[in-house]
Amino acid sequence: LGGSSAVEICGEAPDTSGAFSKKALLAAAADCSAYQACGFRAAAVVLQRELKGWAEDPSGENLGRARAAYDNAMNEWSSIEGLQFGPVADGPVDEYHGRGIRTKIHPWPSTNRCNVETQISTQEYASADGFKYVPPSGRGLFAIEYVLFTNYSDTVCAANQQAYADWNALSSSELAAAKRSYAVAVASDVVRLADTLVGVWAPDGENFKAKLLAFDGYGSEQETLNIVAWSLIYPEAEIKDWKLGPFSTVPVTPASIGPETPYSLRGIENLRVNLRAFEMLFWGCRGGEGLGFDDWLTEAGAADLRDDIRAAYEQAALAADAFPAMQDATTAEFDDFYRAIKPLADLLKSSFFGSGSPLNLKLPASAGSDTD
Amino acid sequence: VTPTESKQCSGRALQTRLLEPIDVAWLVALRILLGVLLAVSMQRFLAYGWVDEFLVRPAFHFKYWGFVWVEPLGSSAMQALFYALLVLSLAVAVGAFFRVTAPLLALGLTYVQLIDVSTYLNHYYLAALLMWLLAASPAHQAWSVDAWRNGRNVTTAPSGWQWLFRVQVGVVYFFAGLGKLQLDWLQDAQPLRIWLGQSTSLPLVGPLLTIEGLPLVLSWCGFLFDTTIVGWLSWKRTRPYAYFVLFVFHLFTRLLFDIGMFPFIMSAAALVFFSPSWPRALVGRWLEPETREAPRAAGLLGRSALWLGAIYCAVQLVLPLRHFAYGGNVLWHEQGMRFSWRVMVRAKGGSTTFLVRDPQTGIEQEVSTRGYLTPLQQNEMAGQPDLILQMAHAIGADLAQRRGHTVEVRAETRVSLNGRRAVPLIDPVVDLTQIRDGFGPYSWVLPAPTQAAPHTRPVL
Repeated sequence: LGGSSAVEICGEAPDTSGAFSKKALLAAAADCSAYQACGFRAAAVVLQRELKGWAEDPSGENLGRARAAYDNAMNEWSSIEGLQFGPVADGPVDEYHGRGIRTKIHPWPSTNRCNVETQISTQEYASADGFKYVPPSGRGLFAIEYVLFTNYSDTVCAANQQAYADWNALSSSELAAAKRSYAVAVASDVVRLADTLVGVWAPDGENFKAKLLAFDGYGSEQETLNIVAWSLIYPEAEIKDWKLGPFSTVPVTPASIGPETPYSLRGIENLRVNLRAFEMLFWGCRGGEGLGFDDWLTEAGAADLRDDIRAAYEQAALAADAFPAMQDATTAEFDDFYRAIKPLADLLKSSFFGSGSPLNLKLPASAGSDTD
Repeated sequence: VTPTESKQCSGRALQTRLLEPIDVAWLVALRILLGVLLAVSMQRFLAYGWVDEFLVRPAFHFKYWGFVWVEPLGSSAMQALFYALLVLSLAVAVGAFFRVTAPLLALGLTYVQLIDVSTYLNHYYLAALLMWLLAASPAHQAWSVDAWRNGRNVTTAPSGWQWLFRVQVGVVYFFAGLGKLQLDWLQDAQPLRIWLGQSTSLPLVGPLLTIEGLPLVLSWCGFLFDTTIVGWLSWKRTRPYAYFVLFVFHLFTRLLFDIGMFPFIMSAAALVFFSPSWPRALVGRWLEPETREAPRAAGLLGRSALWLGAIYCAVQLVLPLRHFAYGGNVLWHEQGMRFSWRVMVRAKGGSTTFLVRDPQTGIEQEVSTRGYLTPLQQNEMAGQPDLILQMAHAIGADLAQRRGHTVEVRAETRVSLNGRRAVPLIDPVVDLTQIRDGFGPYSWVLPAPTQAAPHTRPVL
């Protein structure tokens, strides 16, 4: 791969333009997901290489290169966050094909510092079982971020845990080396998972696109579209309630969820990419061009809803672009951002999904009941 | 003969007619079919995990007026209840210990129905009603375990039972048709235009659904079917053809929509319009021949039963019309919506944001319903004002308890009806904690949107 960027390896985003049909929309979503998987894999390989380089020569320069590679990988991943269907998704999100690849790569919000420190100190991951029994909350990009952006000499694990004793038995240099070793191992695991993800979409691999187009396992075209469309609820749940809610005074009881990237402090960058991922699925994979759910709304005669969503999205994207680094933002700024994204969230819940949807799209996790 | 005497005569004639013994075969067939279908229904609840998902998992349950005391059992007990209901359904089908099993089944179905308003479906309600009627009937006196145990098959039953079931089934069809007598359905073909879109990938039928004008044709067909089918079924000459159409209609709806057991229950229940001996044409060789009994004079018990039946029919005829007392669009304010057989006439959804204002600090904040409601409950609540009111009260009570003083709760709502742009449903300035639910008109519900429903299209 050398120093190749994702664009050099994967080319430009796929051109998904063409006449609308629901199958063509599914194909576009599949192509876009395959493209993003390719991009992430390329970034993961670079991250792995830079981490190895830093582990062999822990210089400040190499640390900088590894951090930049992490930033790039996180950027690539933040696109896939908005495309959670099929094997990448967790079981509750795609009950038909979800294999939880996502959570093994990016475990937020279920992250756990002690679980990372346990692996660093006990090196269980180095056993013959590898990462088989390593909980997702202590691996993936979160673990790499922890190693790259912190220098903790203490552990948050409880004193009665084996990890606590093991941690404190390490000298500072041993601890630093153990951290780097774990980061390299995690990066290799992430590359393996990225390979799996690429293989999911590869025509000569699992060819999940063909399964998607045949509604394989989903039972019907509408249910397949439901599952794909549920990725679009990301601005409502993950962004509004999880990424902004805890820092805003607008909700009475904000979700007790920690920041997405607490050590690299790049929360707003992730969020901006998340919104662009929404754009890719809704308006088209190539910077908003190509087939997307907007075309379905147009074809179905619901252009007013399409335009309302566009306006609400632009308001949210503008607010995201103008928002400072999250650690520098005031509560009032969080409140304003929360309010700026709420119209988009409300439109998605009130009109795009649910019983009032002109496309008959069900709300996430509400499918599967009778009606009359 | 004076007018009073004439009235008494016709009253007696009606009594005699309703108490006239007729072949019990139709009632036995209904018992078997309903028992089997309810067993399948219970099995579906268990197999799909709905028992936990709909009845146990929710932290908050929407209550029916007057039934706030109904609570769900724990997970294991609820699972056990559904297994028990499954067994009871089969016991009803074979007529075993019917006088115990049938009322218990009816009671169980009613209990399940009353646990949470957000799970209300017309066909669950119908199943409970049919089961109560069946439990009161002599459906077990022939071709049943009970008859075998007693060593006696009673081959007739008063004809009033058949009329009672005919009224019940007829009410469902007729009011389902009446519910379609509105512009959204007959002029704009909504919500069919929306719902047909989910089936365009079906082989053969799917592409046809995208033909412009077809949703309107199907809307009119549905309206004419519902409003006239009882008449066609009641007329002997058209009955077999009408039932064939009915069967195809329900098959079609089952194919296109997620309406569970409803088509099967209706197809089975509609057999009550046939001659009482219709099952003999199918399985006559295995049945004990009918023994005609002489008509009996109406005793006190018979007269009481007839009065009870008449009151039941009157309630069934009046209950679906109660929305007229409220005016406005029942699909919007929903007062008079439940128990009125408005089947498949609204695509309605929205978002609800509850805003809590602390009178001591003047600070207003949002309260997410995620901690209280499941996604299904959130979806159902969004379009139903009385559920929004219940949720507001629950939030108000919860925060008042935590803060030690009362709070104000308002609701900012955006609701879409039959494809229209979402507009506010609830008056956003009203403190809902000050509103008590009751039978009066909801002054805190904003008027329904007046523009026509949009002509969305099913697409391939």
